[in-house]
Amino acid sequence: MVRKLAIVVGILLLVASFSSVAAQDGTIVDVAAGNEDFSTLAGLIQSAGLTDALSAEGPFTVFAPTNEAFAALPQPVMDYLGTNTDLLSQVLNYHVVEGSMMSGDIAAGEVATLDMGNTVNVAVDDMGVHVNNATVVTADVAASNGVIHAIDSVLIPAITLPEVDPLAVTENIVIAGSSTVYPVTQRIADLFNQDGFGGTITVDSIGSGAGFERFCVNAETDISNASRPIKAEEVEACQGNGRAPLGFYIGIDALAITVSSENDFVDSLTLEQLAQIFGGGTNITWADVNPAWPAEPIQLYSPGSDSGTYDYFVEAIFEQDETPIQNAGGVQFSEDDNVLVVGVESSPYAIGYFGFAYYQENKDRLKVVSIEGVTPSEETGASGEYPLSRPLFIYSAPSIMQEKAQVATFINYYLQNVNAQLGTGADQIGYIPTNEYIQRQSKLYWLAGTGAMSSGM
Amino acid sequence: MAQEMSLSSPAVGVRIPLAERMAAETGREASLNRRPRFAERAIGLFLFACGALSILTTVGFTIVLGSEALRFFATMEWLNANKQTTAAVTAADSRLTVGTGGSTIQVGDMLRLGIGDSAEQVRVVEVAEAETLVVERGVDGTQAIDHTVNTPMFVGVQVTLDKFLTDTKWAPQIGRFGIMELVIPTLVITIIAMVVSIPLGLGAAVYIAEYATPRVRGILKPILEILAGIPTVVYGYFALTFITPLLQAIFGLNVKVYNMASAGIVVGILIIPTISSIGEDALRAVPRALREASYGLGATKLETVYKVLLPAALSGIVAAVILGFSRAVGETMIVLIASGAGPNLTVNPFDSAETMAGHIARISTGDLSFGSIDYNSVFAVGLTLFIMTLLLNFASTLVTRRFREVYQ
Repeated sequence: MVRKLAIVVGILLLVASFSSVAAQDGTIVDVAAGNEDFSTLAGLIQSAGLTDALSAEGPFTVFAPTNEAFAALPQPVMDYLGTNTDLLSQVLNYHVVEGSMMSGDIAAGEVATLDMGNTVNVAVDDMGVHVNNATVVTADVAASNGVIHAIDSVLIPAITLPEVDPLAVTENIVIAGSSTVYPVTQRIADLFNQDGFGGTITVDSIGSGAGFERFCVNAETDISNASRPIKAEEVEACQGNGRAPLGFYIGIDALAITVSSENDFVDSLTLEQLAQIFGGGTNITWADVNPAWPAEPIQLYSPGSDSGTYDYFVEAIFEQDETPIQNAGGVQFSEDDNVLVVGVESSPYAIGYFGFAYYQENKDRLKVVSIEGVTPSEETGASGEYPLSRPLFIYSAPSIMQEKAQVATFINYYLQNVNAQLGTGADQIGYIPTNEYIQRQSKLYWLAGTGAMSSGM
Repeated sequence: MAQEMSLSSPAVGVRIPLAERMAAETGREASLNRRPRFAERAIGLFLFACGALSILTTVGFTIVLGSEALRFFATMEWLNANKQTTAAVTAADSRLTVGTGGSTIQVGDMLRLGIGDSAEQVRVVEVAEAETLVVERGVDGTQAIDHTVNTPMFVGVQVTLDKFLTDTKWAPQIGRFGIMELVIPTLVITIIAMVVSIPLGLGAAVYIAEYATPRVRGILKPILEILAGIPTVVYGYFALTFITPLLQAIFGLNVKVYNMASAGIVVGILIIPTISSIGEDALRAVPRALREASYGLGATKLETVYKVLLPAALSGIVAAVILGFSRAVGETMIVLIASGAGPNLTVNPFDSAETMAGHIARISTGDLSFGSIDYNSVFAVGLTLFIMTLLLNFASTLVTRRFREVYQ
C-alpha cells in the first residue's frame, strides 16, 4: 500500500517536474518574479541591479533562497543588504553557478560561483542535496536560461572582519543573561581586557529570560547572553525601546543528563523515560522506569525556572508544558549549577541535568547518560545527532553597536576569538564551536549591526 | 516642667509671685513658664524621631506587604501558555487556531492575547479540536482587535484564599499556589531547631546564672555571644559540609544531601545564644530572697532551680523561647544553603524541602521582574511569614502577662 502510494507520488512528481521543464516561459529573473516562494529574492535581484546579468544567455544554476530563508535573517541585516548594493550583489552572485546543473547531475564538491570564483560546498547524502549549510527543498525549477534550486537558507560568502584594536576603545560594557553563556563571555571579556581594553566589562549570570528583560524592557545592558533564540514578545519589547535585536550564534551547548558516578545501573535513557522520570517526581522509583533497576525513589535536580537550561529542557522533553515537572513532588530547583552537581553526586539514585560544560568540569564526580543511544560529545552535538543540543547566542542591536564603539569592537573580538576557547581541550570551555557557515552569518550580522561598508569579502 | 522651674526658683516661699516681682522691677511683663530651651527640645525631638522611624518602618512594611499581597489575591495572574496563534485573526473571528505544546487549554479559561497595551482578553467557550478554540472576544473591558500569526498567549489564574490555604502544591509557574507546601517544612525545621535549642539554651542559662563561678561566667558568656555573631552563611556551609555528612554516616543514604534535619539542627545552634542570654537575664532577675528562702528550707541547688527559680522566671523564659522561635521561622541563609531548593510537602526531616524565607530568597536571586507571577507570589509568601511571626509575638506578650510573677 505504502509502496503503491510512493509510486503514484513519484509519477506525479515526475509529471510535475516535466511540466515545469516544459514551461520554459521566461528567464531566471522572470521565473523568480512569477513564483510566490521567491518574491523576496526577486525584489533583491532588482535592487542589486542584477536583472540584466541574470537575464543573459547563461546558462546559470541558481540556488534560490525561499522567502522563508530570507525571513530568517534579522530585519537589520535585510535593511543593511538593502542599502549596501555592493555587498548585496556579492551575496546574490554567491548563489549563482555557471552552467545548467540539474539535480540529477549534481556532483559533490567545491563549485565556483559568480562571486569572484568563491566556491560553495555541494554535498549529497540520504537527506538530500546540501549547499554549504543549506538544503535544497525544491529542485529543478526550469527557466529559459538555466535552472533554479530552492534552498532553505541564505548562502553567505566568506567575510573578513576588520582587525580588532582593544586599545582604540574606552568606556564600559554591560552584559547580562544566560548562566550557560556566562563562562564564555567572561572568558572573552578577560582576554579583551588582557589585550589592552581599558574599560570595565560586567557580566551578570541571571538567566536568559532575565537577561532579555534587562536588555529589552529596561534597555540597560549592551549585550544579552542567551541560550535560546529571542522570543517574539521579547523582540517586540526590544523594538519598543528602539533596539532591533541581532543575535550572534557563538557556540553549541549539549544538555548533559547526569547521574552519580556511583550509579551502576543507568547508562542510557530515551526521551520518553526522561519525561517519565522528571514528570513523576520523587513519587516514582527507578523500578517504575525499568523493572531491572532498583526500587529506590528517584532524586531529581533541575536548574531553576529562570534559567534558559530549564526552558530548553521543558521544550525538548515536555513540549513546552512545564506542568509535569512543576507538579512532580520534591524536584530541587537551583540557578546555581554547583548546587545541582553536589546534589546529583550525593546519591546513586539521583539524576539531574545541566549544560555540557558543567559536566565536563565535574567529569570525575558524575556519569553522563546517553540519550536515545547517543552520547553527548563535540561531534554529536554539532551534527545535531544528540537530541538535547542547542545554540548559544549573544544579542546586541545596531543602535547600541553604532552608538558605542566599544560594544561593536568587543563583539568583533568575540566572533574572532570564541572558537579557540570552545572544545574539550585543557583550558577550553566545554561547548561545541560553530562551523564556518554559522561564523560567516555572524560576521555578516556584525557588518549589518555596525553599518560598516563591506570590506575584504 | 513649668512646675519644676517655679519650685527650684528662689521665689519659692516668697509671698509675692516671682513674675509679678520681676514685672515690678523691670517694668514689663515676664513669663517664667515660657522660657524656651531649644537644645533640650531638639534632643527630645531627635529621640522621638528615632522611635518614630522604627515604627514608621514597620508600618511601611505592613502597608507594602499588605497592598502587594492584596494585588496577588485580587487580580488575575497571567501564566505564559507557551503557545502562539497559528493563524491571524480579525476582531470579528470567534475561532482561534493555536499551536500544539504548551499549556492545556480548557473551557472557561481566560486567555490574554498579546502583550502590553495591545493585549486582549478572551474567554474560552468551547475547545472544538485540540488546536481550535471557540472564544468570547474582548472580555473584561478589553477591545476585540486583530491579531497577527504567532501572537503569544497567556492563561489567567485567579488565586483565592481557599486555594492558597488548601492546595498542596506551590508552583506559581503553573498556577498552583498552595502555601502549605512551604509552611509545613518551615514548621518542621523550626521544631527541630527548638528541640535542639531549648534544652541547650536553657541549660546554658541555668548554668551561667546559678552554677558558674564569676570567673567562669566571665569567660563563658562572651563566648556564647560570639556564637550569635557568626555570619549565618558560615552556619549554612557548616550544616551542608559537616552536619549532613554526619547524619548520612549515622542514618545512611536515606538522608539527602540537602535535608531539613541538618538545617534545623544548625538553626537550633544559631538561636542558642538568644535563648540562653534572655533566659539568664530572667533567672538573675529573680529576687535573691527567694533563693535564700529555698536554701534555708533545706532544698538542694537542683530543687531550687526547678521548683523556685524556673517557675519564678517563667515569663522571661517563655519570651526567650518565643523570640528564638520567630528567629528560627525567619532564618534564611542556612535553609537556603542546606535544606534544599524546591517546595516539597513532607515532614520527613531527611528529605529536601524549602521554607518560606528560603523560597523568597531563592526566587528573588537574579532579576525578578515587576508584575511577574514570581514577583507577586513572593509577597503573598512574605505576608504569611509576617503574620506568623506577628502571631508569635502576640502569643509571647499574652504568655508573659499571664505568667508574670511580681516580687516586690
